[in-house]
Amino acid sequence: MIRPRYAITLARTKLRSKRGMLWASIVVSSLLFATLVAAVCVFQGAQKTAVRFVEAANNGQYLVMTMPTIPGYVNNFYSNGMVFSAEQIKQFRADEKTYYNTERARYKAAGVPYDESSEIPLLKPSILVDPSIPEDRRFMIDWSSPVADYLMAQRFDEYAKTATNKFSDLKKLATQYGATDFYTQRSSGLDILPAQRLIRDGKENFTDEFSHEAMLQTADTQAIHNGSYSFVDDELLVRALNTTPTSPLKGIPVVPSAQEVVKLFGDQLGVSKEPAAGQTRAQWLAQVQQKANGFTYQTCYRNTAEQQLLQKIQIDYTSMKDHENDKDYVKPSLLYNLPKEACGDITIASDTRTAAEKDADATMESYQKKLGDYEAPAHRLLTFQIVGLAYAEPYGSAPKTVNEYVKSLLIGSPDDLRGSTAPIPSRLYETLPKSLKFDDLTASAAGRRAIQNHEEFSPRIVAFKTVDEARRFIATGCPRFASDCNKPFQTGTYGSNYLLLDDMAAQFGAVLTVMFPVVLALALVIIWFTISRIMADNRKETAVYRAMGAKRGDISAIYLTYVGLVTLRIVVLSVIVGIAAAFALDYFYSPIIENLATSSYGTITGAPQVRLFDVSSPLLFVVVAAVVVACFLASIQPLIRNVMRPPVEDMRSE
Amino acid sequence: MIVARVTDNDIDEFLAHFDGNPVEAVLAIRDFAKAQAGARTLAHTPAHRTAPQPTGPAVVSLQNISKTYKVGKTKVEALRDVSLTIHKGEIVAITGPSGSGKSTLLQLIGCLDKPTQGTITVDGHDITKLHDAALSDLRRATIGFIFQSFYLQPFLRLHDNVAVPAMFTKQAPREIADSVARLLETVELTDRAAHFPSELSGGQIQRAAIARALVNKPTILLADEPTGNLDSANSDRIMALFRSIRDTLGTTVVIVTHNPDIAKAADRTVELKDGAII
Repeated sequence: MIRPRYAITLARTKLRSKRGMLWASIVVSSLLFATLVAAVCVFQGAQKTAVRFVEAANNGQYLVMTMPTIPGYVNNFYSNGMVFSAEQIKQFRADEKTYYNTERARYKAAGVPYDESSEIPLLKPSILVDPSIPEDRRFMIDWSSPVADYLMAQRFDEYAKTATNKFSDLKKLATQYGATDFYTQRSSGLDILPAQRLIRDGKENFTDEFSHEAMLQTADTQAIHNGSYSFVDDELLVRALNTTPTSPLKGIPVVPSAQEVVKLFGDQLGVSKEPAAGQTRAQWLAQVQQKANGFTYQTCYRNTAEQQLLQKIQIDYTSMKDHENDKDYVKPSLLYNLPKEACGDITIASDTRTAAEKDADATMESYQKKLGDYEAPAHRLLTFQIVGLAYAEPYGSAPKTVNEYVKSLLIGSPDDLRGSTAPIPSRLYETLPKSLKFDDLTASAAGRRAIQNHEEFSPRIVAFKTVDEARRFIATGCPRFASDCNKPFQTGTYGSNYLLLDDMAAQFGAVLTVMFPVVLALALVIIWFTISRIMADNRKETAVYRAMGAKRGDISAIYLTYVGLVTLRIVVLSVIVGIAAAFALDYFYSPIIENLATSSYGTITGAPQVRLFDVSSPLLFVVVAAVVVACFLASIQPLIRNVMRPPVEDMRSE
Repeated sequence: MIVARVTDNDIDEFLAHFDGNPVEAVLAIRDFAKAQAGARTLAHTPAHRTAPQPTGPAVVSLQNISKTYKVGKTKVEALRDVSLTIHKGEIVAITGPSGSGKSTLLQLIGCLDKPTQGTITVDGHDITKLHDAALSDLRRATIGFIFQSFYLQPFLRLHDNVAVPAMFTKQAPREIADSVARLLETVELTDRAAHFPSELSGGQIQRAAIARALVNKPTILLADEPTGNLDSANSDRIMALFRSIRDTLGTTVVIVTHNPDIAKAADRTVELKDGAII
């Protein structure tokens, strides 16, 4: 057999023949393989980045939001095309009767007279119902009726008796799929505006109760203004909490949105408005976080009784103003003053009530006390302290750009860091001294939210260690907010759309599964064509070598060496071009994606670096091996054809 | 001038070879003297008929050879009942018009092809019974080819070009390099060893091709129209080189040629017509 050094010497001469075609073939094949190399590098980088973000966003856990599926009949009164049947109306009247009887018994037990005509009936006439329907069926539910609440609570209690989607059921089910933790999200129990008013510049604004400023605002980033708070497990807030903890706490810990903090306290903090986009947004977020860390603000919480007093003040003074010139107008006998200072007392301005009026008021108060419904007017100054910041993603705005679309895909499902509610880290809250807590204010309010806050049926966040476990568990439920769900729970990703990331990874695998053979086949054809042509052009030379005594094995060795040299060039070129392309992509796009991902995940503190470049994937070796295999596969057929050809056939033309 | 001491008996014995004809004897002495001079200045001696019919052992023997090709559906009889014996050290010219079967005969002698009928013995081997690998071995060890178009590899330097046939042997690289250097010296191309074929003249390429054919020290040198593209001066020089090779190495030389001067310079001429020896 020919020595390797001579095989290389003779093979190298072939690299110099048909140079143009050979290099064109090498370049095209290399570019094809380079796409694979680049794809592998980019994917590996993106995958590692995604894992880093999931780590940062969900504390390394794959979280599943679960809500029990409550059948429609439990919390709604269905009508057929907005028209109740005669039987339904009959049933409603009977339910109403039951409620009145229950109330009558309660009042009687308390020694308080009961007048059922003072109650708001369950049904009220509806103008929306077709006039052709008999009048005694043209009704709709009046949701302000206490009967509605009574019936709903009753139905829910009835349902709860046999329900199979309680927390205990969830625990049992999720544990089978590998659940490691269960987190609860619940309302803070604090009533929102107007029960709670933000104190700004040392003032509590109720000079104009119905002004835009004072009204409940529906925009997403108005949690502080509206006084909307919820308890969220600290574990779920890891990405938003400050890395430097505020200690000791000077108020109720809270994680509001950066946008609202800047809107309300930007001047105090010395922070400008949010920049449009780009790298500056991440810098802005970091700046806000640094300056807002530990910042405190106050709200004044006034209970229902005080709210009623404030409402009375508003009505009385408006009425008095309206009747300024009316000599016959009789001023209200009991007038109150608005508090003179923030979260101050409501004082009596004038009391000209008659003895009878005073008796009536006293009787009413005594009845309320007897029934357990009495609430003395009270208020409390609440101090909040910012312990973290979220980047609020507004709801409902359809993505307009590719970036926004990617961001909406990444976020996937709404969570606690969207700005409509400011989360209070529940474990941190528990460390507060009693004087800073608000538990005493919410005891009665919590009772009014029996259905939403029913401990056994409240939404839960279930933690899993792996994406596969989370995926399998999610498959046991219906998609969240599904209209016709016949499964006990509704499930969805929480915190980030890791399933999407995982699906993208799987998709990449699928794309690669298709792309790989296509590229391989294309390269195979190109290399085959080139090598076939070069071997065909070298037939006479092969015949000359055979005439000189070269065996088929010698010729094969020369050509295989030649293919090896070509392969080496393709491998080197495709790896260099592929890595360079991935590096360029990383260089130009990583900062953009990093900024996008940072705000998508709300990871302000120590946001993980986005890299679209990583050469550690074993797939790279597979690609290189594939190049080698493709080159040698492509040469087999022309090589066999070449060496099996009798030399005399090519010598004959001599 | 050759000076030698001879006795009367020597002269009588020498003349007896020429039937006592002194003229023939003188001519033979002159030829011998010229041949000796040629051996010293091989490459510069013009072609000339040399020795009488050699009587060495047969190195090539063709017995009733026929070769038929199929061209499409037509059968072409390239050789018909050809019998030929070539002896060791013989210079044989094969002549004949185009299509007479000269190249086919050369390819059969060169073990590149097998006859349709008959037997061919090359260096004692019946090639009709050898498989491909054995034929390659036989070609490598026994035969040196000089092709009409020379076929020097254009991207190899001259020393590598000459070494190519040796690359397929088990010779050590050092041994090959020494052989190449000696041969390049013999064909007076030492100073061109590092040149590419494109940098050589036609005559130099021809001599390089001869050197290449000799690198494995073959028993038989087969040359297909070796002087076809050369002028008469170069042709004479090549023929002198063949004679020198034969004389110094004992190599049998078979030349396919159209050139009557070359044929005349050979020891023997085999003329083919329509695939048969005439």
